[in-house]
Amino acid sequence: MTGQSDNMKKYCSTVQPSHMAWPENIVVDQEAASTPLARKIIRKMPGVPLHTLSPGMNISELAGKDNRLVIYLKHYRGRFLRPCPATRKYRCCGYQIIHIGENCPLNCSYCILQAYFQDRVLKIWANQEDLWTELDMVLGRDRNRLFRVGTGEFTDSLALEHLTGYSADLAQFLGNYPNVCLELKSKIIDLSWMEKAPSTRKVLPAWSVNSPEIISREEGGASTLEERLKAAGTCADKGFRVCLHFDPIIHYPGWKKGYAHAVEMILDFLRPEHIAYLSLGSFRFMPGLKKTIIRNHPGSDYIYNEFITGLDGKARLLLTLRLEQFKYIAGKLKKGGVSRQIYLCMESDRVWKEALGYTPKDLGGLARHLLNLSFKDKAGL
Amino acid sequence: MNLAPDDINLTDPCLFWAQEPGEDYIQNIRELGQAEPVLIMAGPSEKILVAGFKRVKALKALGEKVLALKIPPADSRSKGLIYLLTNQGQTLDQARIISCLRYFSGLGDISEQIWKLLGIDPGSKIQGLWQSRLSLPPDWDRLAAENKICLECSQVLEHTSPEDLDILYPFFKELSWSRGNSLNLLTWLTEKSRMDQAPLSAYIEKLKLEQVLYSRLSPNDKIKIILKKVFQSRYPVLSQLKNDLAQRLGRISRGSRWRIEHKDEFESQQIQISTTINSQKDLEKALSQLEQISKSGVFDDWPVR
Repeated sequence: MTGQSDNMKKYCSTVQPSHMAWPENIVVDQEAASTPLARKIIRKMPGVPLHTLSPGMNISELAGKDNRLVIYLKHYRGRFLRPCPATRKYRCCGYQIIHIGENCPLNCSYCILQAYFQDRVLKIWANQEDLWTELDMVLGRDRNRLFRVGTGEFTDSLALEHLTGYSADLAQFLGNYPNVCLELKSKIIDLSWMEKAPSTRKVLPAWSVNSPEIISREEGGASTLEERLKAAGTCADKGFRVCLHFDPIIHYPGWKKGYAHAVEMILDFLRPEHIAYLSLGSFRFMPGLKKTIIRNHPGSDYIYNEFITGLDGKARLLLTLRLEQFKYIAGKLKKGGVSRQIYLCMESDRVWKEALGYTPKDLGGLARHLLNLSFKDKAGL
Repeated sequence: MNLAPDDINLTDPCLFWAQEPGEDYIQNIRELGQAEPVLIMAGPSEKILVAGFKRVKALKALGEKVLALKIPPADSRSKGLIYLLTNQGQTLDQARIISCLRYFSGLGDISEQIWKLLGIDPGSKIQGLWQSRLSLPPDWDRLAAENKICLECSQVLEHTSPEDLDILYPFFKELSWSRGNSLNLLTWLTEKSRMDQAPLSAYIEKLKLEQVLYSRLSPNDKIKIILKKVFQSRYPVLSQLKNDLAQRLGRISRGSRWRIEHKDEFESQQIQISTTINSQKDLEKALSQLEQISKSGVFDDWPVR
């Protein structure tokens, strides 16, 4: 703890957001050390010890052993753009992930990242030039093909924005691609990307939303619902349309009151036309995550609800229970004027029909429908 | 040195796998003699056995003297290690592993060397399970020795209160549970208890499980009924759905040779219909029954629409 306080003193000129503790170390791949992004991040944290990782060395040799918070500036060699992992058994939304890093400083009890990454090493892909090259190759190949892309799959889109400016860079870069719409999905507030966004039509700021009780109990370090919705309101005022994701919906005693309150708050801060789309996703998880949640978050007793093994092998809430939740929340949203923007994440046609009264097919296919909603001006909607 | 068996102290706790010799073993000693000396350590007033319990007992039964090798004095940890090393050929069953671990844990931490000698990789999942087992009261070791409880159950029981453990104990003492059944029973009970923040004993009482345990039913029926009750309590909505569906499918297929099953936990409406055909006549009858089933409205008002 002494080390943390010392670091804090050294940082006194740097604005550090409340959702993230001070990192104990920065580790940088030798090959990435001179990239503009790595240099920028290192410059922003002058007091933090910096270690360079020679080729062939593993990050675990320098960090992560005692669960320290570490920023790792990595020379990433994999594919930056990839489709969202879908399954044939349930309907997927056709989202494309831009991979900018891994792990998250927030501490959400239900998050799959804690099973994927059992340390506090926040990885940032520092070789942005490679990212731009790949994006140009794929997105620029056919400018008539529309893409809905986002970064909030293996990390929170904005949680490290104060250090990286990654979302701002992406928004600026993708401004040259009229066929691409960028969704920035987060649980915190950072609107600094806005300055670089070339157009309000190219970026869809998005927030994960939940009932206030779930946010306060299960989303450690994240902004409150009110803060998120205020930020969404600010975006709407500036002309952006926003996306909201009720995901994961948790079944807990008093959930009706909690989610009704959340919907009321949404409608207090946003008008239906401000919302590009809104997803409902019931809590689902790889079976192995259960033990991790029990170990890391012993008070999170929602994990003991009536979960069954779904057709994709993941655990999910028993159909009757989640259907009741979908119908209830969708009903409240529809009453408030949010209707065709609502979609279900990873559910079957049967559930769609029961919960929303329509299926992806009725919308012309979910991926296409969401593209239409994203590119509202292009679709002439 | 040659010693009379009665002059050797056989009660040191380091002999954690001490076992009486069987007839065959005594016969072998009778025929071949003592091939290897036992190890003793001089105590303040006596000679303490550190390795060779079975040999001393067999020689005593044969009225023979014991060939012993005196080793320098050592602390309890070293004595245990010597005993373990000289017994490396023993089959490592649950009972042996736990008695060894209990000995060393009583002396403080169990070193990596001990884990490795027991064939358990330090840091492995199995080591975690054994550590959980050590957290249970020693009287649970007997259940493990009798294979009445699997190692994985220890992890489920790790944070269970002593009072709840006492209440659970007879269920494992009286009945022989399969690995899957015991894990289900304990997982469902502990999860229900955590979710409702109530002691596990409250559910055992509420579900009247002790009445089933001490009833005149067969052990298999007791297990079946206990599991059913606990499942219904842990998964009330799913149980109800399963019940409704079983009744419906039973009604539809009653009197026919068809078996109808649903395996997707209501995630789909998929059912499997199967039968066995032995002759042309069987086939014709089965087809006619299948037609009846198709007219029965099996999918109408499916438990989850």
